[in-house]
Amino acid sequence: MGVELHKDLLSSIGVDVERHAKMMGMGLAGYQAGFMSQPNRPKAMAYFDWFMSEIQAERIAEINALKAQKKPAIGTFCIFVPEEIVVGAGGACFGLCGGANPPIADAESELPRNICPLIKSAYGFKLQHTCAYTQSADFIYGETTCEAKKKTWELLGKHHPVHVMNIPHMKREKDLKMWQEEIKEFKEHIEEVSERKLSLAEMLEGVKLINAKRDAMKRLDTLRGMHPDIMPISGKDALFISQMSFLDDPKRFTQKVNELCDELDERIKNKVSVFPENTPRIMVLGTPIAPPNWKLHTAVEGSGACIINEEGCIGHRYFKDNVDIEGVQDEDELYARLMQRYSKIDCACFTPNTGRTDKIVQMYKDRKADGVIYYTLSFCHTYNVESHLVTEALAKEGIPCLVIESDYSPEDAGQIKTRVEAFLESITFKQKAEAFANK
Amino acid sequence: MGVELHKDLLESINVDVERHAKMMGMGLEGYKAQFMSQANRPKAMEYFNWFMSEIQGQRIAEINQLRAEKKPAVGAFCIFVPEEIVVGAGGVCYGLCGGSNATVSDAESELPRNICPLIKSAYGFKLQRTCAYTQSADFICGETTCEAKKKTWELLNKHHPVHVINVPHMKRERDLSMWQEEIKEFKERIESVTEKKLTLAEMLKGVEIINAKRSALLRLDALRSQNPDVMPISGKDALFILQMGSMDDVVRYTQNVNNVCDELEIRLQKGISVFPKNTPRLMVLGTPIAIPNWKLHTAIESSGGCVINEESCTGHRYYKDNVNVEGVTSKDELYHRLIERYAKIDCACFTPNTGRVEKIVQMYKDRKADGVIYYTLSFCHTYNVESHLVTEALAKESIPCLVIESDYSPEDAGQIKTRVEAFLESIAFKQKAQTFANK
Ligand code: SF4
Ligand code: SF4
Repeated sequence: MGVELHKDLLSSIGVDVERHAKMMGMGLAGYQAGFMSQPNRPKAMAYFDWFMSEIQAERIAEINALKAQKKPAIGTFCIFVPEEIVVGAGGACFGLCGGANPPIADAESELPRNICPLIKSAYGFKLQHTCAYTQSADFIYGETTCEAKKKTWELLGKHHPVHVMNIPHMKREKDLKMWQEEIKEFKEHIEEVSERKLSLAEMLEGVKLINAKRDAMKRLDTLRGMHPDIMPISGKDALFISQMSFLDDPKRFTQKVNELCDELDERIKNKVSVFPENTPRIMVLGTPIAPPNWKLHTAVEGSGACIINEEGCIGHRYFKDNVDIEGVQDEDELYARLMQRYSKIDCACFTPNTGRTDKIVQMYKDRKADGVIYYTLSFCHTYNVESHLVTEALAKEGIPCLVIESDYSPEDAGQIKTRVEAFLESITFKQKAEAFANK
Repeated sequence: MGVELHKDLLESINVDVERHAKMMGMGLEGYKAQFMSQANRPKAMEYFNWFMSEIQGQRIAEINQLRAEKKPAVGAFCIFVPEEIVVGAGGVCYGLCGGSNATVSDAESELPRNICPLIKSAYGFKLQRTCAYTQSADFICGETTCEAKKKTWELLNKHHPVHVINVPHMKRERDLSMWQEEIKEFKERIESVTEKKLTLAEMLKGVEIINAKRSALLRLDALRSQNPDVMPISGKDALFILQMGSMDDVVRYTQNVNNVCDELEIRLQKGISVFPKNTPRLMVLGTPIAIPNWKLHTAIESSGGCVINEESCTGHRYYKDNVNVEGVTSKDELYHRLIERYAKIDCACFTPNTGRVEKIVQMYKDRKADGVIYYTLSFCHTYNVESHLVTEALAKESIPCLVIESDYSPEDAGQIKTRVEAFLESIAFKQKAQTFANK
């Protein structure tokens, strides 16, 4: 495994090498058990399997090689951080969202127990020195989308350099104007790392790279979700790809996703599905599902259903919009275009956020899905409160919906599985009854 | 009791009269049991006893009398709502924070269980139509200080007109200038109720009235806590006075607070204390304590301690700063002064919020207190996360501190009492040990 090979590098960036290797070993074993055993996986998944084995090794070496050339390495927790600018500067922008349970107990020595596990997990990784991405980051770029994060930056600032981007809670003219200034400041912070000015051409190049990445992911989303009888890839594999989009080199990643999509295209032509016909096809709505949080997908796909889309930030919300750079002549115009794109993000942190509900219903219809699971991480107030509005709209459309709130502890895995099974049974029952009615 | 007398009015504003009367009866009984039995209360508390009996009766009649004259009635949840403007328009601005457990389960039909009880309680009052203040409000003024509230307005809006003030999470120049616009918009919203322009003179008058109220409360704060040997009023009574500050007519209230203060001044001269000498004097930090949430104060003062200050929004944070109107000659200048004052509020919603930590240590020293209790309502992320920074600073100063997180259910009352008792014992032990050391 790569981690052993890069021991010196890892220890030079302050990683607790032994503990890190142990955790990575466990993660990899979990991946092998949960993913490699799936029947009939697309061949192109081989790349992602490899990437998983090098996720905290070769990829870390790449990032640190960039750093040696004064290219920025920025850790983020949110899809509001304009990675286009980092990539434009030749650097790496990676997600630090934590999806693992082991660091949580450490984090709880400084953070409340009853906040989102994603934040605690990431914070724990920092305290433990067991995430090589965190250790590689020139700085962590936080934002103010949710209050548990917003306040955690104040504590995290004691352990690692942190900048905070102020994302408004509304999207009126004046809010967006303020937000645009944040983007400009972000760019200045990036320039501080690279110790030189970033040109418009470079930033445009960054946008192009990230646009292409989002296009590839949208292509994957269409291929997996738009054909009711053929599911050419499992939801678990597709989720894993989404998760890797926050860690991998964007250019290579885009290339590999497109190769996979070519294969899926073939599969659809040849009617090769990894699930039997009439498998209930489920959309998952809500909060981010960070690696190695595969609990929900494992429960759903281990109970005879298939996940065809994640509406979450690690998913559709991340790749649904691109930046339109046509005719951009100067930096301010580019910031305005970035703003236009970023303000389309329908995060529950905004009030109101009605567009999200309409979008969900439309997505459901487009995909001819069979049901949705509204999934929130525990104590995520914004998505939790908003769930009432979403489920109300779903009920009005007669769309079957299951609400699950969970953290990373393995304790509720059994209970989730039971609830998912009951939900799937009710969907199948409905399908069969309908088939009779249509006879 | 006032409620019976005003049955017709209550009905006309769509209060569920029967349920309301029952709840008020229970509330009044709770008040009598916990407050009237205290030994040696100041005589001037009589006014507040009377007000309690009329809180949902005569006072509601007054408010609706004003409304009949097109004076605005605004319900608020937060000390960020500029009541100066409402009062300047001749209207009333009152707190709708819910402190009662009786409405929480109704709210949970639309809101998540794991959000702050204050929000659920208030929301439940609206669903039940058992709060005559809510029913009297021309509109409810929400804000974006915390995300559970921010998202709840979207739901509440279906049941009652809501206006939302966007309070920023930072206090940089650009955040404040955006905030200033919110104040102007709020004034315009008030004008839409009164159907006439609000003049500068009227607004200045409003500021003067509210400044006087805050000054009276600051006076009370000083009197209850300045003499380590004489506690002229119980913490419970002082808290109750503060709670009434967001409901009563401002001018009358200020007068009555000053009456209490006059009496307390005499008590201090004569050395009349409602607690024995050497009673540990505690400061309570943290989240609002809304009526009828008297759980913590009851636990402390029935365990041999005395509460000498609430640092919270229903306390010192509310009255510590006044608006400086000297030399104001235009509306814009007034908005600016209002912002200057409102930006001094050290709510945990801001990042960073370092001023609060320093203030707390200073308050403790000024009052020669014996310990602090950091009290947060369950699931209040901002105050919960910030508690780590506060308790760290307190530990550095060797200030004894107990952290309590609680909701409104009576279940943990026993546990809280036990923890408070143990805390008080450790303080008393320390005091005694010190006396020996000083001998
Ligand atoms: S899932 Fe919710 S609580 Fe967790 S980091 Fe994201 S917005 Fe915050
Ligand atoms: S106590 Fe905290 S969670 Fe509750 S309303 Fe206030 S800021 Fe929000």
